[in-house]
Amino acid sequence: MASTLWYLYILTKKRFIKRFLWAKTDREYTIPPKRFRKIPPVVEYPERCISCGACEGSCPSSAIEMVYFQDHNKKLPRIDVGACIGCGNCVESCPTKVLEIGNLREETLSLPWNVPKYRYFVIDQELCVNCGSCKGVCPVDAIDYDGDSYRIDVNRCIGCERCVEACPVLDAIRIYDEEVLKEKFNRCFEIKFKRMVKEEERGEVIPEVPRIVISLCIRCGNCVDVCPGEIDLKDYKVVECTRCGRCIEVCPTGAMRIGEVSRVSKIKDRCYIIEEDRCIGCRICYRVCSVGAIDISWDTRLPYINPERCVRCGVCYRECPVEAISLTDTESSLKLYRLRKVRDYFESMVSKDLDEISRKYVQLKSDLLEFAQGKVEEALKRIVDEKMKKDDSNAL
Amino acid sequence: MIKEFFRKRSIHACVVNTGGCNGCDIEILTLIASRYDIEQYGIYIHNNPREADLLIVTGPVTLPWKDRLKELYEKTPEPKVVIAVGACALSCGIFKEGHVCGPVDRIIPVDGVIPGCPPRPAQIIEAILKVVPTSIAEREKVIKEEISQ
Repeated sequence: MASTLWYLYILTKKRFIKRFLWAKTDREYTIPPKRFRKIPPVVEYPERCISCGACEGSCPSSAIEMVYFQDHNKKLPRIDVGACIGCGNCVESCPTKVLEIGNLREETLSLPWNVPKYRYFVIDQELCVNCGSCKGVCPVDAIDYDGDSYRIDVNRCIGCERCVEACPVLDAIRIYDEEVLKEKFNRCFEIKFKRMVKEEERGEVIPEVPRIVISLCIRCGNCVDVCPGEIDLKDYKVVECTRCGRCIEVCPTGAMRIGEVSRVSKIKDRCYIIEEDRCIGCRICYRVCSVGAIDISWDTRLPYINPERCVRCGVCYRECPVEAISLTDTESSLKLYRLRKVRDYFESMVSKDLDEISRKYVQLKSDLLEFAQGKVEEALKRIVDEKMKKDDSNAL
Repeated sequence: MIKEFFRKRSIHACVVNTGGCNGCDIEILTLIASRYDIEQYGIYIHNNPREADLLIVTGPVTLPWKDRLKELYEKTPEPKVVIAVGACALSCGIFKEGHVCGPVDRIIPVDGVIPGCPPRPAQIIEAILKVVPTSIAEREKVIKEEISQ
């Protein structure tokens, strides 16, 4: 009874009746919400595209293909509608904002994100000559110089490979992709599993304790996982080593390293040469050369380039105040180098001999002088003594 | 003529998931629910290939589904229409590098495609209503002529 009264009270309330009468279904339910991304992304500004292929690499369903367009005279992304899943990776990874999908860019402009990537670039600290060619060609300013070495900002890098092309040293900028990472991680698990079931057999394999190249290390921790000893990734140090060589095997970037690495230049047929008529002997090139390819001649007191060590980075060419350094073919440079080297050799040999002779002469002279002085003193003494004796006998 | 009129307005559909992520299936499920109610357009989701006129295929064709899908296609009576829903059914989508046979059109002939990952229910309804009634009616006509000849 009470409940019936309650219902009657509720149903006859003005507010309820109002709601009941005004109730209606939403008219616009078929209109997609504001955040809905309509596929595929549009190539909004093709003139901005730098054909870097970041969108192609970031697409998880490989829907994007870089195709050459005649009217734009460059490669532009072509998106397969059937394969696109509307994830927006291509829009996020585009460095020059060519692509557009929905209002994703406005939405995420204030949020930091890690650009999804397939390939990564790292600079090898031990091979880098600090010439700065990579920084110059980078279209998105992803390479920074922090005082003593160049570093690639992974978030800003778009994987266009221009730095790799510009780098004078072979393999100084290393590329590793997801495939390599996968392979190395699988190898790491395999080793760990074999160790767990005690099937691992390996004695000493590498001759020395490996070191960690800091700029190459991506801190994946593979080496720590497989190492039977101890590796300190905080300080990049190998604390305890059994020389099994497992860490070198599983490192995806080659950051675990033994032995010396040599810088090999990509350019072989051309080399820089110092024109001695123009050179003022300021030795700026000698100071800036980071590979030690420039020596100072004994003969002329001017610098000359060793083409075998030179990596053709062009730092000396840029720094020279009088434009005395120019690019020629390697043979003429090598000829000058040999000439200077041979002359230097003779020059230094002669000077060394002269030095030795003069040193000996001085020594001899001083010896003689000493000897002579001793003799003279002795003689004087004797004379004086004799004289004294004579005087004594006379007095007696 | 009367048959053609009614044929256009009563279609039985069968949803086939050949190994996708179920995203498209959820979107198709909303078609049955009250908001996008597909039955008011005369399409009934039956899930029986023997009675179906329309096969709605979602997902990439996985290795065990290859023969099954062919069987299902042969089981459906003529005239039949196949619609591939979603990026996976069109080009394998994110499963491109996985262990799949390929997109649906490599296994069975496909009449309509709906791109999207997943497509909106409104898009699915639109595509089905655009493709299916007319094509079914036309195929019916063709079959009739063949029989009469």
